Amino acid sequence: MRKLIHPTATALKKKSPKTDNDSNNRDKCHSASHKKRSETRQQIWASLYLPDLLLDNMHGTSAEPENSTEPNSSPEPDNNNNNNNNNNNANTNNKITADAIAIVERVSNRQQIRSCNATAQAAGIFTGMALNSAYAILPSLTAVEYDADREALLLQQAGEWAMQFSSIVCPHGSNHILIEIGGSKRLFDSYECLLATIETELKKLGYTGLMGIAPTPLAANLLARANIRRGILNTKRLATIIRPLSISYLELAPDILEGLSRSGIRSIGQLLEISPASLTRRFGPACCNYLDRLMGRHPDPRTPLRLSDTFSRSTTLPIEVHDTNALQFATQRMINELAAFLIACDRGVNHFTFELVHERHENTRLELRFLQATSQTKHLHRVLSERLSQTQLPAPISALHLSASAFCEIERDASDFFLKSRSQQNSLGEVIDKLTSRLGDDAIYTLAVVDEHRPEKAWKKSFPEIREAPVGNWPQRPLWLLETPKPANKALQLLGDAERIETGWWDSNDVRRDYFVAKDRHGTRYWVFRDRGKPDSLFIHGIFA
Amino acid sequence: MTLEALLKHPALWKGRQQHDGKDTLATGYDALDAALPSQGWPVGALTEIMTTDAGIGELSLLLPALGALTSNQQWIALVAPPYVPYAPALANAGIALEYTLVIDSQSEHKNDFWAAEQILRSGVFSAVILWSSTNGDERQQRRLQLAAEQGKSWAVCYRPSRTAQTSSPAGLRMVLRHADTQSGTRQGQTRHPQGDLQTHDLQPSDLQSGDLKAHGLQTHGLQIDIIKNRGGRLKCLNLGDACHRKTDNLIALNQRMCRVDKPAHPP
Repeated sequence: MRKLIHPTATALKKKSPKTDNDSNNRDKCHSASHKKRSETRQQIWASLYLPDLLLDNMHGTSAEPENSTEPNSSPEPDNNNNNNNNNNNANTNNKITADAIAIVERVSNRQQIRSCNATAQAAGIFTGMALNSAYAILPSLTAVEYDADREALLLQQAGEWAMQFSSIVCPHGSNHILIEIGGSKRLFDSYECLLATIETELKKLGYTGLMGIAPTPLAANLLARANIRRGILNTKRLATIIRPLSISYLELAPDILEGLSRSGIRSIGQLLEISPASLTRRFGPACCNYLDRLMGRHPDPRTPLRLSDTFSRSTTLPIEVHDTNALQFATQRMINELAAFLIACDRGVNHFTFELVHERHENTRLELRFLQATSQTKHLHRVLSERLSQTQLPAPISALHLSASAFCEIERDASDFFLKSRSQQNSLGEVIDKLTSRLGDDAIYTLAVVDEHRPEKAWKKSFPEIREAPVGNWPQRPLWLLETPKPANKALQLLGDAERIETGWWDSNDVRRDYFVAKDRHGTRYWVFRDRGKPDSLFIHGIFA
Repeated sequence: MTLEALLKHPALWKGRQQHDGKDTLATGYDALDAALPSQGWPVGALTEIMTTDAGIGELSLLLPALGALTSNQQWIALVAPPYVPYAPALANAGIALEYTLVIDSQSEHKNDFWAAEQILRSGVFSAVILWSSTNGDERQQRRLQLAAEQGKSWAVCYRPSRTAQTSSPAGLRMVLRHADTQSGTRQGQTRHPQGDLQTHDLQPSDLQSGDLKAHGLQTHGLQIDIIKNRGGRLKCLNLGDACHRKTDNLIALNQRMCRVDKPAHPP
């Protein structure tokens, strides 16, 4: 089922679909069942090629302000750096000062660079270089061991993120995400709009990726790797486009590719002209099978990714961070992923945990609560960054962890658009969350009365959205109550009769008091009591404001 | 263009403009309604209430309007109240407690202003009442006034009475005191540079005190000096020598404490 709450999606949706092939689903409009439609229409695959997933994941999180080594630095430069951090996914020039990071892998007993970021490349480091040589060029290089498991995890997470665009998303290999977009075309108005949306959202995550569109998954992969942005929607045109491409873009085993090139086969066109029988004889069935699936002659079924029940993301910071301002980029990415996850499962979150991991200190754990379930990136991020800016760091941060496990339905107000109360409710949650994130949970409450004779126990703090049953009528009571009664040390004139309150023996907070209304010479009216045990002293318990 | 059409032009500001009643809140006191230019509390503006002492009925003054709002399912906010707003008393005054939000940061004063501003700006709350323990400078008051305009809500700020002499961008400013207190000694405070003073001599409540006793109601004298009243009518001029009689710039309002005195709570 495709999801409707994506902001761009709703914007695009407003343009009415030009064609309506499926009259059965017209009433249901965009929420038409995906399964029903997929029987009648051709599948179109978009492949997202993410070659530098590990590197991109670290990139940006290292964008610590230069001055943050001094914890007491003035706030202004921090803000400047912040802005840079926000922009640096679009413009890497801002990150010239950023640290050089390289992913290192071990190839036959030799440590070599697998990939490196722009800063490292600018210094002259390239893929395949020995780590020792790289250190010689750039002693400050941060080398990170290649971790296939982590890469697979990141790919899986990126797949969950991509589920906001389509319900059929399959991670492929170690760097590809296949998204079936044929079913999402109507929701996003056109493939161009959809692709633009995917690209902007991907940029927000800070990932660099290439995209290809084709009728078969493997062809989409091929186009993505060859960086051919033009989408191909039918298999006939596919052949003409891919013929001139080099066979090195094919996902074949290295020995097959080597064998082919040794036989003088350089382009895919040449390969396609060879008869399947001779290919199979020389290179085994895998090669032909691959080509058949590539060209759509054989079916290529895929198992779609399923969303997990809980959401959890960890980011390891390459460098310890002393200032929460420097976390902007990393938190933004995590929130973006959370929002995408929520859109994908069509849920909202009203509570999540954000943990700051310290090397030499117990982790700082922030519990963020929302009055109403939300999936809005902006709101989630505002509340998180407000809370972070209020947080005192006991130690430098080395990693971040975000987890959310309880999701609930988002209240939608499609039907009663004109009812003011509903739209108020929505933004009420946002206002209260904003206040709570700065002032703390205890600072914001509504009031409730408790059916109890002791004045100090006759009220309690309640939470917004909780409706307490109103409790009867009360005798005359002051508008202000002093939390602890204070002795009256001025001349007071008692007015009227006493109200005796004598109760509470059962919980050892026994109260035996006579309450009066009293007035001082300025005209201020107080609510005073005389303890029946000590008839001489008068206590002020409230003020009639 | 006829005169009627001209008068409807939005750019035309009429000096004695009567508010159309849409953006006002009835105060619940006829005498006070009559004294205010908009026939009630001004919505989308800041009302400053300056008091010397707590406990003279300064909060009760707002309760009828607040009660009307909350029973209409509109939210109100009390920001940084000086004491615990006592729920039973508020319930007695007809306020729906579930629509009453209390913001009590118990920390820096800066946060109170920030919270009040955020709430006003959101436009979600119909009334925001702020207790300002410090003097609060003009800039802060201006921000509140602007936020109230933006959110179209009724902002009330309680301030110490010494701030009456400073200027303020608030739309309505009033000094409250107990009726027993001698007004002559405070003459200086009621004088305002803008001289935009109301001189209404209002009759006390039409309920006689005997009736009040019979209904279990109590009377409580409260004197209101309106020292600034933007857009207010200058009807005071028909008192003739009003401009020379600064001591008369008072509104004596016999304020009712509308609390129903039920038989004592069973022990």
